[in-house]
Amino acid sequence: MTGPQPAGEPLVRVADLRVEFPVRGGARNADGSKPVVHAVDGVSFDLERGEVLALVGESGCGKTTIAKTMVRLIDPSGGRIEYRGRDITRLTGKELRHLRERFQLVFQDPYESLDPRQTVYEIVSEPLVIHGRGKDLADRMRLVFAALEGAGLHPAAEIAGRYPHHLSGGQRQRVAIAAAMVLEPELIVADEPVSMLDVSFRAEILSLMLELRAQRQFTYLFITHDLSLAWVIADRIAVVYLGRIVEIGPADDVIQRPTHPYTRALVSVIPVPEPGAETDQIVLTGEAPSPSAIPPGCRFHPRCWLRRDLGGPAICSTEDPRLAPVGPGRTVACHFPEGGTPR
Amino acid sequence: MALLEVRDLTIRYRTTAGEIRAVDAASLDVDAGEAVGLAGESGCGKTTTALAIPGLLPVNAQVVSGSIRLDGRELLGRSEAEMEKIRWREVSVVFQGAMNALNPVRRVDEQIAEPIRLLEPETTSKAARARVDELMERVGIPAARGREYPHEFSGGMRQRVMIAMALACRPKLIIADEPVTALDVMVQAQILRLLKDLRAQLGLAMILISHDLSVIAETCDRAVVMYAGRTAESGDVRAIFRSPAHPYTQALIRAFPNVRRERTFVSGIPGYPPDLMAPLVGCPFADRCIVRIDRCRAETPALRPVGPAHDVACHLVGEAAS
Repeated sequence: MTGPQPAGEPLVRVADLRVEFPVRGGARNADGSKPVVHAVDGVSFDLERGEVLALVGESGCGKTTIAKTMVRLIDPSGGRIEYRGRDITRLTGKELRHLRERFQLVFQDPYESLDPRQTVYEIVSEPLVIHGRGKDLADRMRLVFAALEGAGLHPAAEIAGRYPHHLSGGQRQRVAIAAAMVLEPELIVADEPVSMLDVSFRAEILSLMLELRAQRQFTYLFITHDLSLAWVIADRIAVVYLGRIVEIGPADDVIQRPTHPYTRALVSVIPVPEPGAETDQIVLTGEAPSPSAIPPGCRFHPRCWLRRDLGGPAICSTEDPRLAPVGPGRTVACHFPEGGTPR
Repeated sequence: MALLEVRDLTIRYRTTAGEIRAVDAASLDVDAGEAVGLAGESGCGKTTTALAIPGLLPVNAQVVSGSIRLDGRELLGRSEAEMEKIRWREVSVVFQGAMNALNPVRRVDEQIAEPIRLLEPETTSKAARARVDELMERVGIPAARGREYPHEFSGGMRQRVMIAMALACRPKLIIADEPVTALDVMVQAQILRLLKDLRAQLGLAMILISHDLSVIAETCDRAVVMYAGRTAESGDVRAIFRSPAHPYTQALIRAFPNVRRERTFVSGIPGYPPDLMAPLVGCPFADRCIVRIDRCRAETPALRPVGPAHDVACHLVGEAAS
């Protein structure tokens, strides 16, 4: 795997991003304000050009909302998203359309994301038509076939005439990737792009994504609940809990030496294809609380095993820990990142 | 004698396009209290094999040949009325996708009680009530939540309801079809731990169907790897994972990342499984196999022992062993 290019300015900078959703039909808060769900609650990260950053976390943690906000399918309620140094959070009209050529989204389910009534050619040429690319029909055909070949669909001319139901799950996801790359975007936001696929096809799609990165300098934001997949494909991993990044760092480092107690628990329960492997599992009880009722202090404290081990220090339930460096390229939001002494 | 003995089971599906050979001479043993994992890609026949045991195949399925013996009694050829006495009480199924398997308009505790009410009419409602309470406690559902409806439950809690229902009539064997597939990692760990504890407490045997080899490695005593409706390899999980003999098993294991080892990129298995409507010639895996020889195109390999309780269907392994 080739790492990201030496960085100057990041391709994308996300700063204190917030997304709130109103609670429909909910009772008003005690202070009379309308209740909201803090789906994304102050998320910051940089994406270097050519980098693969994985956002991992449980369902409901806000990782998909972050993905949709990045491509401006959802409007943030606060914070900034900068692209090449320019704030894109409030773009509209023509400028937003232009941004959408640069940022593309690949969805989880290739059975639902492709229109069953369109041929592969129509699916992949649609972005070209919408964005007025290609001089004429012949030019657009050339671009579509090149994208299909680039996504490993051979022979492109034959595949182009087929409908999604003629294709296997792996081929459908290749079509979705071809449609995403036909505009030569800079950033591809992939939301669980392989979780619906059989294992034998997963690796092929992942290596296709990495090949395209090497050839075309694509940057990926890879959303997944599967830590072991994040480990093999990403340069860096950001662990998301209740709308906030709690730990971020180089992928291998985060998996081999997780620091945040939440990350340590998640890593400990990754199934290993090795019977009798020594497992010191930290199984958290219950499920993540609702983002409409984020606990005070550290949002993880009610489920935190380390806090219990430490005898329940007060700071965990009173003070929200900030992301702070713990090593090269690594930051963690925990009052006790070394396991004992507070920092 | 094994609790369950499946021998040379062959099942076809009739479709408008033709007959699909879903299961082709598959064999499977499960001892009392043992957990056996059924692994393989979609369409390999693992669910069809397992659902044939309690007689829950769809109407267009036809068992062509073979035998399924539970406690020494043949199950194939029994009437629906006879199978109803076996389901829930001897063999239960925990289905994938707990939302669709539960009735959305009935309280959770009523649903857990339903198998008891239907199959054990002699049980008083007071006794049934007590058993439901005990089941809920066993699977980790707070007693007060019994009055709620499935939509009020999370995916993990719904899967606990399914498990409680499966245990309601005290079966000896549970078939769990992808029980943790749609769940988050942490909830997955909770459910797998629950299944492990229940097996230990109740001496339950289990067939765990999963596309995820890592889950089978962590939960099962033995594994059966299926490919194109046939058994490719079966054996003790340690033998299967430490010295996989079939090229398909080897490729499948390489397709899973192992966070306990050095970081390497996982490899896929190029190509597609064979068309199950076409007659089988040679080894079903030959097209995708990187070590195939001429014989693999001509002759279908039989399942043969390669070690203690370790069987493989591959010509090359046979050659090496002899």
